[in-house]
Amino acid sequence: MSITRLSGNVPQIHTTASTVKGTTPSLVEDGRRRFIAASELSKSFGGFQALGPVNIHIEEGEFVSILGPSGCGKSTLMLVVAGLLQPTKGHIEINGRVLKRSMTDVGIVFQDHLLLEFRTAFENVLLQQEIRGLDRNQIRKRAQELFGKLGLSGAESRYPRQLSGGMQQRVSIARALVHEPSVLLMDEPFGALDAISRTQIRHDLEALWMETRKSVLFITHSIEEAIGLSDRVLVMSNSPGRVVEEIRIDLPRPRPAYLGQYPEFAKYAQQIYKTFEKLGVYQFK
Amino acid sequence: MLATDVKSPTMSPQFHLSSPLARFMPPVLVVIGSLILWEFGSEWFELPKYLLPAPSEFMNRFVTDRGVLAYNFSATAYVVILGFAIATAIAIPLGLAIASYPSLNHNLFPLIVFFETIPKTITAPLFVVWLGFGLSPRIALTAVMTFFPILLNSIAGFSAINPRLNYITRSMGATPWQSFRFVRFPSAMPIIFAGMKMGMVYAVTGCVTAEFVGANEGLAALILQAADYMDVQLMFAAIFATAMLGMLLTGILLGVERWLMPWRRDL
Repeated sequence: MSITRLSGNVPQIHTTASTVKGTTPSLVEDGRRRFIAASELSKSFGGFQALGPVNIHIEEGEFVSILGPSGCGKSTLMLVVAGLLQPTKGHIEINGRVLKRSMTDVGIVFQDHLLLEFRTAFENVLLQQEIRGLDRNQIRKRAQELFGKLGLSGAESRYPRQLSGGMQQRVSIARALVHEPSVLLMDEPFGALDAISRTQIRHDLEALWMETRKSVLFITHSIEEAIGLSDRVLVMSNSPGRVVEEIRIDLPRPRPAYLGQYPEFAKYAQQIYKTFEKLGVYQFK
Repeated sequence: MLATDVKSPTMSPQFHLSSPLARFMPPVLVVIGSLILWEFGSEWFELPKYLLPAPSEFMNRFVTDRGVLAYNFSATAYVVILGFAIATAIAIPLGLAIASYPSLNHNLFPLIVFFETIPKTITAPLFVVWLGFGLSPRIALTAVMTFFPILLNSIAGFSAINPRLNYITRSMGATPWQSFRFVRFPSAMPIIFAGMKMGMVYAVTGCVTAEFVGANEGLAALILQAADYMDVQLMFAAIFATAMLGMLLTGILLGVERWLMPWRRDL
């Protein structure tokens, strides 16, 4: 898709209106399809308003990050988008059709790897094939490929507890991608990893995404991760979380491990810090 | 793309000694050493042989009295296995039901605690009154003793599922049966097996208790008969046979566990 739009040009910061709330979702914008659109979405548990109302959309093949302070409802937002939690108000549309049950054309990665301890790494990935009843040989081939690309070759027959935290999470990513879903939902997938593994796995995920161009919703509280991976970053406020800012990241891909080499990175990061300070997320004295 | 620093796997630290021989030798030596100590200790300290026979004396009974020992061994084994099987067949599905319906768990809780608190052995005479002197009171007490550890572990095992794992399977479009078969049941298995191993020890205890109360066969019945004749050697032989039975059945259970759960083999 429009990788050319991102590479080569001098990167510029585009910021749309600071509040996205209230924009009417239309199916097509800039010639790209609004693949997932959530309108006036809110979720409360009992009397507690956990989320929203928010309007978000993800275009086909777009990498969108939700960046927000902890407890702002960003994980809830992902679960609602996946159809795993029913929204209290509002609805999700996929390709213009309202989502009524949980999404299945999807791969999900959580912060904890959630691998089955009684299956080897490879068998964990093949669970997708067994439950969905997909063609075994085709999925095996695809899984083998993913293991190669994710640096997991040789780990196929190991059990999860025999793998390092980084490798467990890589297997979890392979499981989310092996059936080639059109949507990838990730809830702080690198949150439990050390900084060094994080940088590597971020790079590997970007490379994989550039090949396959899934629509990705990536939940994170890391500013660096959000800028390093996304086409678009949505900044959320404190609870109940609302989308308060949308930042298009115009940096060429693949992006380097050390983003500081781009002056634009500093500008994006500064903008996000300022927003957080304005929201009271940070209280600097 | 490959990350050599991330790729180096941290293998699980395993308890490794140089060879199986080096691993099994020390415990075997402990057993042999204790027997030798017993054998010669009873001579050195001049303990009365009619109260504490040396191993060589009562071990001899396994040859001379092999017929009666084998007959009663198999009678006890039969009841233990049957009682254990019945308890397992009821406890695991009931544990699943209780774990699946929170209201069931909530409502049955006081009842379960009440029955769990009763020392089951004191119900043995009741089973004899109810069911007579045949096999059935022995099987019943064995099953009742075995039941609770397996039930409690089944409830724990079937409850111990990370809810986010259910999100993963739902996103795969899994049916309830698929979630059970692929995730819930195998996840619960190690915990259920721990309950079964505990239950096996209780099963043997339950069976011999019932034999004491009223039975004309079984290793405990043999011990009572031998006591009447002050045949301490035979009593010791029967006690040893009971221990062997417990170890044999637990060993079979461990073998099944290893076979069913290869991922736990080097734990």
